[in-house]
Amino acid sequence: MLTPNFTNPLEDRTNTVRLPSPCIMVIFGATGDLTSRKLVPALYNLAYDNQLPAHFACVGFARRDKSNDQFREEMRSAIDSFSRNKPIDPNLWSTFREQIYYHRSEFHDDEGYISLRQFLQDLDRKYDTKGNRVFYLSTPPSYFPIIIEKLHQHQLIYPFVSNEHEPWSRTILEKPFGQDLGTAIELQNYISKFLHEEQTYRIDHYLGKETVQNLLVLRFANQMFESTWNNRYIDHIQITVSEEIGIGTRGHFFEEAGMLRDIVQNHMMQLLSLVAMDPPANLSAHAIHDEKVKVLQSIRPIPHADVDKYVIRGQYGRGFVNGAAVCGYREEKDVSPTSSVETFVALELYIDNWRWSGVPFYLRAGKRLPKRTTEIAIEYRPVPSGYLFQTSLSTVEPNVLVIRIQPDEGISFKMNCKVPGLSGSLQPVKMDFRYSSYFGLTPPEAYERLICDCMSGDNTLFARADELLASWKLLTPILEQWSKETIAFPNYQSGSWGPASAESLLERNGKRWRLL
Amino acid sequence: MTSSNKDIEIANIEQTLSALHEAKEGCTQIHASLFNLLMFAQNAAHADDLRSIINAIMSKFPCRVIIIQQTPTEAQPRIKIDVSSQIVKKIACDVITVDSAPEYIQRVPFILMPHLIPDLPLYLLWGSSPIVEDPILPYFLSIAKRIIFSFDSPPHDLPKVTRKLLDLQNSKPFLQVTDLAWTYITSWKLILQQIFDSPEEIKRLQTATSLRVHYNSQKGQGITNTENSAIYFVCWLATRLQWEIDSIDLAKGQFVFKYNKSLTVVTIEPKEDPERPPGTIVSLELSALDDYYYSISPIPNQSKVMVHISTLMICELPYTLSLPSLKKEFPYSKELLYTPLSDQYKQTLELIASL
Repeated sequence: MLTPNFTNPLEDRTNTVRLPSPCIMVIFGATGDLTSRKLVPALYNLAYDNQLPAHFACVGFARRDKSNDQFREEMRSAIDSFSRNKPIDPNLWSTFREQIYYHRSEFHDDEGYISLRQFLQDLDRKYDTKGNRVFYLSTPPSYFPIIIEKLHQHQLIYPFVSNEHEPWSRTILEKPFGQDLGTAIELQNYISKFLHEEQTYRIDHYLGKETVQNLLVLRFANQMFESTWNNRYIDHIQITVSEEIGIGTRGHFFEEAGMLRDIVQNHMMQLLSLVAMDPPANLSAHAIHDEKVKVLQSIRPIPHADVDKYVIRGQYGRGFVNGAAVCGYREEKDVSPTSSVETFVALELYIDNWRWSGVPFYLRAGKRLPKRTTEIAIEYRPVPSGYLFQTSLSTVEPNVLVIRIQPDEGISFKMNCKVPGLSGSLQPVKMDFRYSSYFGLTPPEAYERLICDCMSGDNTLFARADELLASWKLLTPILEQWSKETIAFPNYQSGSWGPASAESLLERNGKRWRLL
Repeated sequence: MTSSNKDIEIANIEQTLSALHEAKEGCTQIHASLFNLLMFAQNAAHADDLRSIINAIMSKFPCRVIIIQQTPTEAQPRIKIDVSSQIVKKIACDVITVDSAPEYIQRVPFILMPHLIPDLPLYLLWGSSPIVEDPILPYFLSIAKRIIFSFDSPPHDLPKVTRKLLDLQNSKPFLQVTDLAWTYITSWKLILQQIFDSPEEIKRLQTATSLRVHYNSQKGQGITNTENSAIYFVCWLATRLQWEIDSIDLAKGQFVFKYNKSLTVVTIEPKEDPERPPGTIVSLELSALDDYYYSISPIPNQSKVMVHISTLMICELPYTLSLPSLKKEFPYSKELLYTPLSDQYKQTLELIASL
């Protein structure tokens, strides 16, 4: 019998090396793109960096007929193509491949779960994985309920216990979590019959990115930023997620989702809540989630009647990206030629709380824009105008703090400087910190960090149910309003910065989108 | 990639570094420093050992490196200065190397002080024993953030050395004191933590009848006393398991530790292993009650150890755990610079100091 709250006297808590608990990870939808492009390469990289538990195995669960060896070979070529550590290390692979298995079954088939349970118990004995399980649901969300129900029915999901030395089971759910507020509540209510919130890991890979994690450090470990992080000093905030690519082969998916669901509801609302939250009481997952939820609940709702005023949608037509002619959205594969799905969204949001009252948050996300960039820009209020330095020779530009999330992760700060010489001209200059300049090493991929966190029982970087529901509550009226109105699409050319109305959204308040 | 200017005038250090950077304009490189890293070695052999650590640190964390090396007296004693720019993964780091004859060593701090980058922390990698009187260390101690000693003291001096380390830590509140012998046992501490990860396993370890620690006794150029890391390891374990050391005997090159309230006999045994750096732990063997036997030994050509656990009745399938290779590349840059000093280190020093 294990003793509750056992503390290993050999553990040194100052050690920077994390040792996730022994476990078996079962990937549902193991023949999908995500498994080969992200998940298995992430596991391999963890093994490469000695971050994978010593006692570990991975089981791919999918419907296609396949042998262990076939699956292993596919995963080998996936690692060769997509791992950040290339080429594959033959020594490491020879051990790693033996830890990978394939289990064929339909998602609704009881027999498949009965044999899975037996198989996992056999692996427990072989690898001393102590009965611990990570279930990674890399399937379309419509399969989440049936898989979770079957896992529960066949005792593969254990009742939640807080004692980390009892066998545990954790379930990672890929996005999207619901299609709107109603379906998200329905899904949450259903899975919560089988999974405790502490066992539910709703993944948003943006939260695994170094720069996003650094947001809390930047804000709360630097006095000069946090003391000015409010409506007294900040004029407005712009958050941009722009992609130059179109929808590629994701036509089916995108026709169902659209930009608001695919990017804004999860990634952008997570970024917004991290930028705007108050300092947490401590760095525990609960304390951080609580503060993020407060922000999301403080965002001023957009009633149906105001959707057009505060939200702009767009869809790309033909155009040029990187000098090459590209087709419009409606000409993409698996897309309706009359589709009204948005590939661009811009929003003006307000957070009605003490800190942010009156500060607009501008969010824009789009496909087929001129470049791939994700960034958060904090634009400070201008200095009192017409008083000093504001002359015919120069204007005083506001300070801007930019947090670049991808590519070229880093932080820059724009400030004014005197142009050398006898005249009194001012010139904005940029102080630029680049992660790659100081920490040249390749940071772990977001999935590596998040999988490792799940194995360690740390859900700080995963979305909690109330965060997602608060986000859906805000965005569902927009989806409802859009479904009632038709709009003349396409309304922006591929390779441009979106529809003209997106410019007007800021111009009416005397502001402009940043030049990216 | 390195470009350098050798034997330059003291007054030209910064100017020469700037010239090196300017000469590389057009190359895709970035010039960056996170901290100042100052290394001192009393002789060339020890300097070579420490340089591999410096290179590993530079490859992960760009910094300004300053190397002080004491060279034997020549007919005309002098101070010789080289500067270079070392590019690792497109990031250029400044390296200033000072070779000084013993007669001139006291001048070196005055030469180097202006060349520390302001506002960045200073880390000292000090290749000398803390109990040896050092003419230049005091100049840097008051401005350093952390000092990492690399000493080659004989085992009988370890109590004095560790007492001095503790004194230094206690007397300088802004300075963090650590040493390489402690860093070298990091992986083995983690290995033990992973194997003995439940109350039952800890109990089994606590009541073990014998533990044999093999260390690489092959002497290196800079390291001749190879037992120190193994002694650290054994004393760390004693502090974690509340073993009170009763006696230490030295026979046939083996140290035998006996304890007051435990049946355990721990031996530290030499074993030559050219695959590993001098003084590092090679393997462990442990016998416990109920005929439990643990063997933990490295897998050749892999950064792993094989763990075999057996009893008279059961022989479990062996499994592997990570043991980063110290021979290929020093893997502990982050631990060395950024890990907060742990109470476990202090307790281990206190135990050794009391022996």
